[in-house]
Amino acid sequence: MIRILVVDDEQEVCDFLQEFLTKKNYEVLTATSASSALQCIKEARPHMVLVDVRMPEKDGVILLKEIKEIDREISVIMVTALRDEQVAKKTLQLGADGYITKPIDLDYLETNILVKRLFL
Amino acid sequence: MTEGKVPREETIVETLGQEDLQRLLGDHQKLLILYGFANAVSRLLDKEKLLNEAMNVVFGLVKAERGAIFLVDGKTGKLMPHVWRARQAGTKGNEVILSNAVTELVMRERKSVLSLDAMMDERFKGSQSIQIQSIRSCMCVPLESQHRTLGLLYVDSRLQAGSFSKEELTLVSGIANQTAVALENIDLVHRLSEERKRIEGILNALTLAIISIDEEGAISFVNPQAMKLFEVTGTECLGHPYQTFFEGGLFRALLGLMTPALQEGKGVTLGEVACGDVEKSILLQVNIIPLREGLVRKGILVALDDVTEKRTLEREMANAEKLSAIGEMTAGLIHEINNPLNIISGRAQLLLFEKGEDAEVSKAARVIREQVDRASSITEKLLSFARQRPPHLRPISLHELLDQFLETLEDQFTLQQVRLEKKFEASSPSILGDAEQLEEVFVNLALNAVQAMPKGGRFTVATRQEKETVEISFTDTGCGIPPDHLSKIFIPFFTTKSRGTGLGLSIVHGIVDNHGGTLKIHSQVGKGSTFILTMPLAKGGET
Ligand SMILES: Nc1ncnc2c1ncn2[C@@H]1O[C@H](COP(=O)(O)OP(=O)(O)OP(=O)(O)O)[C@@H](O)[C@H]1O
Ligand SMILES: [Mg+2]
Repeated sequence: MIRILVVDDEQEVCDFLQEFLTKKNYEVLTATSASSALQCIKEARPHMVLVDVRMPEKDGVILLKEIKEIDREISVIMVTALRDEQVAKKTLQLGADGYITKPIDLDYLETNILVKRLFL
Repeated sequence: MTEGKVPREETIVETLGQEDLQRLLGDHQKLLILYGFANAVSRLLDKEKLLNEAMNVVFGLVKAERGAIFLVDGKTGKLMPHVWRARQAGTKGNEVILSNAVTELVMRERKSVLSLDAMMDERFKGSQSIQIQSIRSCMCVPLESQHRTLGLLYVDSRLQAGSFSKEELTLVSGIANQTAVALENIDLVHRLSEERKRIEGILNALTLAIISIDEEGAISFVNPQAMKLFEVTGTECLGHPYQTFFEGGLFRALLGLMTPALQEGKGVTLGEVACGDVEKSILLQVNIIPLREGLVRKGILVALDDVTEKRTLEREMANAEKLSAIGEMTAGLIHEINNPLNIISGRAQLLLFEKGEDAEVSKAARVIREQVDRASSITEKLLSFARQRPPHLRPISLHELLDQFLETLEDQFTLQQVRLEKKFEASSPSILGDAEQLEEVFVNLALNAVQAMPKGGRFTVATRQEKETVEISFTDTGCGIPPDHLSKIFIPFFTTKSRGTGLGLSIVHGIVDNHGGTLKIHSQVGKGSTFILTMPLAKGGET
């Protein structure tokens, strides 16, 4: 089963994404901070991570870099509440595999994941 | 010298023949000559001319054989010959060698010397120069100013003893005195004009506009900055009453400040005075300084600093700062709004997914989701309005860009029964622009057009290349814009639509402005509207 880690500082976001993706037959892990996300990645080796761009303490862009340093093969999809071309470009340069905005269109998210899955 | 050109001052004596002079000159005539000389030299401002004239007059008055005027050199303090004269052909004037014995006596005593027979004169015993030159009669008179001896006037005769009388010495002394006074005047005038030049140089170099007005109210000086500011030449204003200059013009406001300053001798320092009319407005920093000589008022000096550009720049910078602060704040706000919207929308979608078969739940979830999307599209628009980033200008092929964006709207046109018409120039102009931002402009204008034609119509996009610009026009056959709305449609949040943000045209305006372009509108209610965008061409013109 494909393992997906959802990282967002808001528990509510983690919750509904987990519910949705579980229903879609993914194994879903959640983390509400970058540090717990890193620990989870090292322990559980998810295939894919959804990363909130703006988080307190350490933001999503730094987390993206660290994930790619651990394992380039892990797909990372950035999720942002603020459309910002600059940040989008930067994250794609850093190796992000996707960039979606909030409010998240769940269908769109699923197609994104499906496409990435083809390469897993 | 030809007759017509001879200056008056030089001809007083020359017109009189020597023989005649001898005969005719009584005391009366001598006085006349003295008077004429005094009169002439008072108007002479050329040192050499003055000295020549003095020499002429002396030669006309006394039977001198040789003569010279020597002046004390300002730097070395030595006596230097300036003018010399000799009556007899063959004797060169510049052979006049002064006898130290004579000059030292004159300079020391500051008194004139007359010697009836110098070679026998006790005072000059042992003077070689007198013996060598065999000088018989001689007269030497100091040129005395108030404080110092400026030089001396010397005449002699080697032919005859007793050539000069005491009376003649008095006469020559009179000439010497006049000459000294005139020399001092010339020096003073020279110094004054140097000083004036220096001050004018300073005033001209200032970036301030300077005008001086004399106590009579006539303009007595303007520097180049002032001429530029008032758009006049020196001759147009110098000597004219200041009122005629400031009345009725751009600078009317200054008049009210100058008049009391002139009348009461009061200085004025004003932060800023707004001058101008409907067409032009100028912000001036005004400083009026009353000029005095002791207790007597001598008019005013007006110093003006045109701070219009400086202030505009400052205001623009403050605006830019404000805008970027607003942009940041809005971004933060939108972030905060989008996060809960995300959760609401997520839950609604989940509900739809899980309980979609239940009609009631499904309907409620769908509405919630739609409204969230609506709210979020408003925040999106607000963000692009608040975050007007400067465009990344690049040469763009205009037609390519237009085609691309029109393609993305194709479905929408069909759905709304809008027929698209393109009237492009034969070749695509290359413009300098930010493709992403320009697309936002086009989309906003196109959507407005479509929304203005709820029952369908025609939407025409045309391009027309001018010399340095290109016009892109968007014409619809929609409802049109009432005249009283025309001035409001660019105001943020002005909308006539139930679901409009009123930000579309504000965004368009900002982007067009940042590109150095302009936007014009023609609209007729019931017939339709045309939005004409004028953009600068990239150098090189076509692509
Ligand atoms: N082509 C047009 N025809 C008629 N009216 C127009 C046209 N374009 C703009 N307007 C008028 O100008 C107003 C302001 O337009 P603007 O694009 O700024 O906001 P909006 O269209 O109302 O909102 P939004 O752009 O967010 O949908 C519109 O509400 C409409 O009244
Ligand atoms: Mg609009």
